[in-house]
Amino acid sequence: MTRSRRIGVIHLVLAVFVVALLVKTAHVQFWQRKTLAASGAHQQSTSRTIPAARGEIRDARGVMLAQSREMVRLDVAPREVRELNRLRHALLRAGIPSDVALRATDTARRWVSLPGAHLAIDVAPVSAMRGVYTTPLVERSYSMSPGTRRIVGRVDHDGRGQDGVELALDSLLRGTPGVATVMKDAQGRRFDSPAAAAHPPVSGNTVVLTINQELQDIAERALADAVARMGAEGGDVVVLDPADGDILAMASQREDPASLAATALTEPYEPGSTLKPFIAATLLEKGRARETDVVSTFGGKLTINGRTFTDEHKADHFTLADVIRFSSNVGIVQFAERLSPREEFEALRDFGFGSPTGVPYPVEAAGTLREPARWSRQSGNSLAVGYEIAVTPLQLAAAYVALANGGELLEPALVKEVRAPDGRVLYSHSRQVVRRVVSPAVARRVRTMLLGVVEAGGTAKRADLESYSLAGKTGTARRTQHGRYAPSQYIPTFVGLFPGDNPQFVILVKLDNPRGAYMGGLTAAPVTKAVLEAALASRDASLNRRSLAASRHDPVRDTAASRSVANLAARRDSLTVPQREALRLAADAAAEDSAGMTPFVALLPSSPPMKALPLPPRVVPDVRGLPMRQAIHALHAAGFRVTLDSGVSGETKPAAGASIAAGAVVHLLARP
Amino acid sequence: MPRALAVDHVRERWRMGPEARALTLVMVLVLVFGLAVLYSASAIMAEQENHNSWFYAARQLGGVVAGAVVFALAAKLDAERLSEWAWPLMWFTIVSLLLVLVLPESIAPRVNGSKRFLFGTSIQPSEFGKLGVIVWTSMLIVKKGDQLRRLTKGVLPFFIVIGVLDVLAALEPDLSVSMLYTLLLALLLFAGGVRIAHVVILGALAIPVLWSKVERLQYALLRIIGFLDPGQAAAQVNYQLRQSLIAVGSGGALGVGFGQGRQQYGFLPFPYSDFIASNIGEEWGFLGLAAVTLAFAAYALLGFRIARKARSPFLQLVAVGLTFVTVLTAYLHIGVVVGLLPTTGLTLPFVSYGRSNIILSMLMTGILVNIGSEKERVIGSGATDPMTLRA
Repeated sequence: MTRSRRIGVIHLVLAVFVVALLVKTAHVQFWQRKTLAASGAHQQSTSRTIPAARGEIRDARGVMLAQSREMVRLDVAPREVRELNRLRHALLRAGIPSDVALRATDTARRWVSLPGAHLAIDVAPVSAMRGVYTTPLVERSYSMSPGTRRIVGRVDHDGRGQDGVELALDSLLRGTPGVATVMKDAQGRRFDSPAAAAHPPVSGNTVVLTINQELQDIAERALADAVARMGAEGGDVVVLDPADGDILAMASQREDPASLAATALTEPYEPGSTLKPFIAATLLEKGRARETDVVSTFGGKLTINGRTFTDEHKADHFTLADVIRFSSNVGIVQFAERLSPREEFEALRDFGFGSPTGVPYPVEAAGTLREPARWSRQSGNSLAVGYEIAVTPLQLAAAYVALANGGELLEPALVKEVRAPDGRVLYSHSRQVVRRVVSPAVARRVRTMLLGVVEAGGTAKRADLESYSLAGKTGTARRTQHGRYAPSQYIPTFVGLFPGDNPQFVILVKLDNPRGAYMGGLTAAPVTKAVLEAALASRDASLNRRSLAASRHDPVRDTAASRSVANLAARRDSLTVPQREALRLAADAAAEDSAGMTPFVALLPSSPPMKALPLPPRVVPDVRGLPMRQAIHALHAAGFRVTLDSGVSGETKPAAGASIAAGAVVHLLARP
Repeated sequence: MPRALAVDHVRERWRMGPEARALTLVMVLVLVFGLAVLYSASAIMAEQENHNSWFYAARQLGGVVAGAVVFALAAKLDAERLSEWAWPLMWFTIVSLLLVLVLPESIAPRVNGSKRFLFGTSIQPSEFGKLGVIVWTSMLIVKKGDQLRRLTKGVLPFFIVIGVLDVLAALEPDLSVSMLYTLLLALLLFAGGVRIAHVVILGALAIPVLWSKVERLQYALLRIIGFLDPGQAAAQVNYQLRQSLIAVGSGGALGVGFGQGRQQYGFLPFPYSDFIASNIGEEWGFLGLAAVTLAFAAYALLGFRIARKARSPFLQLVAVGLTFVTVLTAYLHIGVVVGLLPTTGLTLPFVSYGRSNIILSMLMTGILVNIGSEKERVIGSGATDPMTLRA
């Protein structure tokens, strides 16, 4: 029947349609599955960066200098809240002001951002409620000492290092942010999915500084006190450990409140007479002079190469030792004539002047030490008295370290240790010898000369301590301002080696333009004394008490210093804490002669010194949607290394927007 | 035919044939599966509109219950009587289509640029028009008899009346409906035995109408070429289709699991109606989508078997029309969702959200079931007629 056949034709057409549908469906669901599923995942999920906790900064003894706390910012969507009254009470209990709490529970508003950051634990009952949204953020808190903060530095509100160690070691401190995959709908609203992949953040490393917080505070106080008392414009104190170059304290003060840098290594100045011992050491080392060599000092005035030098302590003849002791310009200029310009330049260069010390600090001045080719006729003479050269307090102290430790120039260290969050030691500072500058014997002979400076008659007798010998050198240089010498403005400096025979501290004190008496011996030296007295009184200031006790000279028997029992008894009323401490220490040392007063030293495999300044962190660019070639190119251009990984196409680990160290590896996820 | 003989212990009743039983089973299976799919596809949407997650599913269930009553009534009503109602149905269709155009927008709102509905979005006259077209065309074909083989007296009157419907629908504007009506007319004329030459001539006349759709035809051709030769697939994919393909593609062989689909989170347009098969593809995979396709293939098979065995030529044509319109709608819907066809706003019968739609689909299936049933006489104590009891 024709009608039945025609129905058959219609049915056949529909049957063909069914086959086409099934084939096409299979094509989409089997052949195109991967690409379609990937683009689905791409639009349905996004990655969220979980901030990593920034590492701690501690002092050498473990005192916390900087640490991060996890805080949350709160936002409330009042219309999503189920129990408004409960939320309001919870907010009030969490310490939120009542007007803010009222606003947050006002259903006339869609979204209320609560001001400020809160400790996650304080607001836990609030953040658990429906309609409350939390944004984690990390807040950095610092120890109170403003002096430490010049070294430690700051972070900005994004947690990136701005200056100081925070910036210099940012890549170590910052940690690796984690990535969480968040599902989102077509309107971009996000919701967590337990099935979504996540990479937990890795906290930053702990940086342990060589700074001793207690000694730092002592130095701060002594400096602040001196600056106030002498009406100085500022000053710097640097305390180094001559045994391994550790920076134990580095205090700075400036009138300018905006000055937040550790000026002891950023501001070079002309050191003046404090440079003389290096000329003397070079002469001894090269055999050009001995301590007992005598030069005529012409009553304290000499014109040479068109420049006139005068002495404070006027005499007709000085030995080399006396030249150092009385800081004779006339004398040292003549002794320096025994060195060729090249020899003089090389000697000063070998003591580390003119090049940065390599301390991990974002900025460090190299100072100025000109090549002989660029010298004038007077340059050799000027250098001998510490002019025509600019050094930072740290450089000068480091050069004295070479004299203090037997002739080796050490790299000053600011970082003692870097520890991973799991406690692994990633870096441990070990003594880094830059070069041997003079022989141990010459170093000892120079120290002996420097002991004379502090003894009666020397320029720094005001730094003399009762129980311990102190070696040192004063210097008073004219201050330059805007490229010329400012009239009657001076920078007095005193560098002390304590104790004089076996130094544990190299202490540099520098004051900017003190009013009244300006000579180093009258201004800077007493600050050194104050620092040392306080350090001796302190329980915890990096002093090796045992070896200190050994080098204490008994006031009773010490004839060299012309002390007498009567003298001491007369002063008993004013017997200072350090003196009593010294007496106690002597007893301790006798009792524990063979026991554990010597600090245990564990040698760890030494890592290469961290000299290069880390590049500032960069932000991972958003490469989602770019072809892989362009994505890789963009990541390279942003300064990252790239490895390909399987995952949601176009996503990166760390996610776009994360700030990580330049040169870090970014995982680019490609189609599986 | 008399509805029931008022003799006490003798009554006539409709006994479903095996095809009608199987058809009912297929419908019930698709309905049950459809409710589950609808719940998953609409839950997110419902929550975003501050309803319970089962808001749409519950309303749809109400539609299914009402549809079941309509289905039962249609199955127990002699379908032959439809031929008496053919003209009233046609007038009703024409008037309601006119009303949609004439009535102010407060009663006949403009939705997405076209006026298709009455009283909100509850009644869509063009949907019920499908039934009108099928019944009226079948009636007239049977009435014309051999005259059908002539052009002017036979075929032309059909095109005049359906042409009026097409113009009204096109004015809404809803060209898809115009095309569907014309297609149904052509299909029934073809099945009714009209000359092939006439169909070809009239088809040629339809080309200008189709011209406006040429872009879509081109698209369909490109898709087909692209799917025969995937390397050359270059047809531009619009947003809606892209989202649908992502959903279907993500499903793979077995799907991501019930309620686990992600595309209904605002990515799929109308995940509960125009793109509900995308959700089936995503959550139930190839297995689910193929099962639904094959369920409608089974519906077609059973529908056409019922047509072949129909009691009268009129019912045969009605059965062909009803089967064709339901199955074609389903195929077109799936074809859109898998990217075989250009995007149109077609729903998946028994599955997509829409109560009037589901009632209509069940009514049409009910008529098919009645066509697939035969009247039998029951004598004795079992011959209690529920109809007379109720009356």
